[in-house]
Amino acid sequence: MDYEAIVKEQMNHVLEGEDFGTVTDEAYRLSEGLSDPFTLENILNSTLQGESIFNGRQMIDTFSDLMLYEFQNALTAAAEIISICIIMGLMKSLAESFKTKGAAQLTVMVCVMVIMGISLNSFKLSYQLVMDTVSAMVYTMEILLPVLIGILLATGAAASGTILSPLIIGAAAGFAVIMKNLVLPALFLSGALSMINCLTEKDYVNKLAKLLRSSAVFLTGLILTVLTGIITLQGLLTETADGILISTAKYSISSFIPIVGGFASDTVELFLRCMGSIKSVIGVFGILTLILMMAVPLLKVVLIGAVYKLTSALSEPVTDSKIADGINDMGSCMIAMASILFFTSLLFIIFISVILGIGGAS
Amino acid sequence: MSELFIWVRDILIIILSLSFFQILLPDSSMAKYLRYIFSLVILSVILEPVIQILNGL
Repeated sequence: MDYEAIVKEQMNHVLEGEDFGTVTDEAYRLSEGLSDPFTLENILNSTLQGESIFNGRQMIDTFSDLMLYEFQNALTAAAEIISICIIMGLMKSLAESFKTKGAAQLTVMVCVMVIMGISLNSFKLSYQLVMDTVSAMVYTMEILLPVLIGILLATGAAASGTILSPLIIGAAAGFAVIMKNLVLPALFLSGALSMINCLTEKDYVNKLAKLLRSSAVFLTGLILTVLTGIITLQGLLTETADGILISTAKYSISSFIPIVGGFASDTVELFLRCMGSIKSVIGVFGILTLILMMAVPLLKVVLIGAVYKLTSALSEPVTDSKIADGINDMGSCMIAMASILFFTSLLFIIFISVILGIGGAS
Repeated sequence: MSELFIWVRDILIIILSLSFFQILLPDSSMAKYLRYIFSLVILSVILEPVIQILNGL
């Protein structure tokens, strides 16, 4: 039995009864087929044979196709909004010749409501996409973490395993709950409010929309900093404790058991290395899956946000600056959503890397 | 979470209907006082969650 067979057999034992198929399916759906080459088997095989797991050309092609498609979709909405803005400018100047203020105001209101309908529609779609992605990432973490922590315990990192496991699982779940129930709805409502603000000439809810947006971003930054700090420090501390534990175990086996002690100690070492490589493979799979899950929705949302900003810049000559400001704020909300999605995946990737780092040193 | 959505929907409805009323108002000296009262109504709708929280405490 060679090294590869041992590692594969151990891997199959580790993964027995775990639900990795759903994770792969979800990643495939969210990344629109980009995650196809990165299955656990492929990563394990290429790691054992020392090959690269990336096929650059194919990835770039798929990626650019996706982006062009999304860009076209977003541009359609932008063209609709700009044409309504142009019609609105014309109708407003026509209505102003009626001598009454009411007709002009009514025209603006109706046109703004149509623009609101179009933009809130695509805003809602990207909001759903971000919510879906956050749920899928949390699901991935829930599947991956028990496996990784189990392997961590098997490599002898007892202190890290017992302390980090509840900490990281709790942190990931709590972070996701706050994201889905507080931060993302707040951003969505902020975008909606900044469009509502365009309806009237006076500002009624402008500052409220800005307050919601900045507090959502602030809350995310705060939670992210605190969680990352706690987990990283805890990881460092427990890692030292585990290092002492393992060296003591190896030393006592080799010196206190006569004659065969040295061989036994080497076997323990080999076992630890095998488990370590399995942990790296699963960790790399986890990080890649998280990145791929996040990348395509992230780029979609950023692209739509950028198109909104472009629309606002283009519509400014033909409409009031107020409507341009509203569309611009909506674009900012989308970009804030995308950055929150990015930070969520960053947090999860940090969690996995902390677990990966613990085994590597011992 | 659904309370938040209902709140924003209320704000939308109240702003829409009040600005529609404003358009219908005849030009008189009372118009600006009415506008002031309308903005008080909008303020009360925006403050609604705060009032609910205070009642719940």
